[in-house]
Amino acid sequence: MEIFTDTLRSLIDTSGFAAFTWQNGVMILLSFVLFYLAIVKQYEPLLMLPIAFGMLLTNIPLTGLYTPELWDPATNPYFAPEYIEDGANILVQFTKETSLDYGRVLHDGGLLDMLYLGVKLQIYPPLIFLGIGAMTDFGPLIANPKSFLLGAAAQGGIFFTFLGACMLNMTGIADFTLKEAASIAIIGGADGPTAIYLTSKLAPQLLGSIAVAAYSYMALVPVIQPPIMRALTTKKERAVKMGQLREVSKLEKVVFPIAVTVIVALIVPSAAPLVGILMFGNLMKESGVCDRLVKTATNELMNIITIFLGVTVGATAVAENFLSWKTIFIIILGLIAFCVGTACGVLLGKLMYLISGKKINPLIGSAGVSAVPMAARVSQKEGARENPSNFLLMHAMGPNVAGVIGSAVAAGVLLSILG
Amino acid sequence: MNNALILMSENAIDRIQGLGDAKLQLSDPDYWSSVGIIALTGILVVFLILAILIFIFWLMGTIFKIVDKSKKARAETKKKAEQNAASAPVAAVQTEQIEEAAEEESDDEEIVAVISAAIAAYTEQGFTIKSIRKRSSARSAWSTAGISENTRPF
Repeated sequence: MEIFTDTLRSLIDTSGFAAFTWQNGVMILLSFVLFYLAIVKQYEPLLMLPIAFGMLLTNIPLTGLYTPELWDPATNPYFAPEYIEDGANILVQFTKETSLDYGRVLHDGGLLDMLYLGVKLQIYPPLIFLGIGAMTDFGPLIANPKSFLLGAAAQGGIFFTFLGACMLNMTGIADFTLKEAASIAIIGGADGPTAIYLTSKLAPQLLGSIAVAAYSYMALVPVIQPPIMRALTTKKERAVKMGQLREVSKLEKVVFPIAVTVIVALIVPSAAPLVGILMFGNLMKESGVCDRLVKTATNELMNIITIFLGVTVGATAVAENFLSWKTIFIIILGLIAFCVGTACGVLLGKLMYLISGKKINPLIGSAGVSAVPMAARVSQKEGARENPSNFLLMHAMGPNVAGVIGSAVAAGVLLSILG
Repeated sequence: MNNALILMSENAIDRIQGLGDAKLQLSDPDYWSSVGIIALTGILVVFLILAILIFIFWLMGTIFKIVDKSKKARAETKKKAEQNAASAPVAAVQTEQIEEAAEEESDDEEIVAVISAAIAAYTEQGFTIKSIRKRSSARSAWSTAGISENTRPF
């Protein structure tokens, strides 16, 4: 009998309930909210569902799937060995460094720790970009290169929010380091992989909340953008019909990814992993000679990476990182970043409308905040509201895909200054 | 001058970054100037790079347009030369073309069969096909399908 109660007690002690805290409970409830958003509301379900499940798994104690201590240089520092030859003997001297000991991760880590390596070592976001590149048609952008300007303007939201986050520090209610401020600001790029890429390098402790905010707002683009677009434009501007885009030859489409890679990587080398791989995927598509590779990049590879990325990003949302005032500020600042980005795009669109002699519809400016192709659809829808025969979709795709390049460049710039 | 700004600020930014804690960073005298410089250089560099890309693809576009034009012009002169060489009246050429088109219409039994099968499946009623003509103008069926596909969720 005693043996039985002992085994029962040890079973209870090793069960999750023994180590369960109220914070775990709150986080698990939060993951239920995300499940609701993903399944019922269908907010970017392909990513939101894995993120929510990662969050659920990581907040059940003692599973050992994800070990936050392994990912903090304070608790898992790397000791660099230095070999000193002393006659026949070799002395080893260890110096503590600020980086992680990846050896210990491999030795002690759980399943999600292993998969998280792909986020931490910046492998997944570029591979997602490979698939995006292989799916994207840059034709509208090549036909109308001026769209690049709108893609750049919409990145204004990023830098405005960076200032905003720093100003929030001044009020004393938040304390964001420069790196954290930059990671929050990149939500305004409206590009999930870019946000994850930058955050995993600059402020990995905020990864969970930033990813959730970025993907939620991307799903909310059709709700967030239209009021801003309507407020900043007149009926007449919205009804502007744009002329047919010129046809783009195959040669131009092949030259495009190569030229973009060379120029961007030369000027901002730190943007090369994102822009370079994006363009690699695009070249595979446009060259027309790598059909099998394109299929893999856009389907199987992309799906596999999406699962790994989602579930591990969710897993980083452990209670001590997520349940803080910072998360609330991140959600507010992220929204500001989105709104300002949209406004900047539309305002530059207005300017181009005036300069071009009323030939450019300012609505396409809002599509500059990447979020492909949702933002372009919003422009199309708003234009069609004023004039049902107005087709802005292809015109909006130009700024839209320019926005992807723009936010990757912005991430590269922030990385090279702050990284 | 811009470069000098970046270089100068980098030292201050590195120093602020080295402080680690956000509160300490805020108390650095160069905090606001560094924050401003980061934001400013950020947006400027993004604009600069995309402006360079605009210039390059604008250049590429114009070159391709010129090449295209000269190609078309060459093709046209060739055509004219051929027509002249044939020295046949223009009317004859036109009737020939019409005949060709008519042939295309009636001969392609496979397409007629496919179209009638599709209509049959769709209407489930008796019908007669009187003529099948190719529409050359306006949006093609594929691009209409593409547009409706892309705008559907709203």
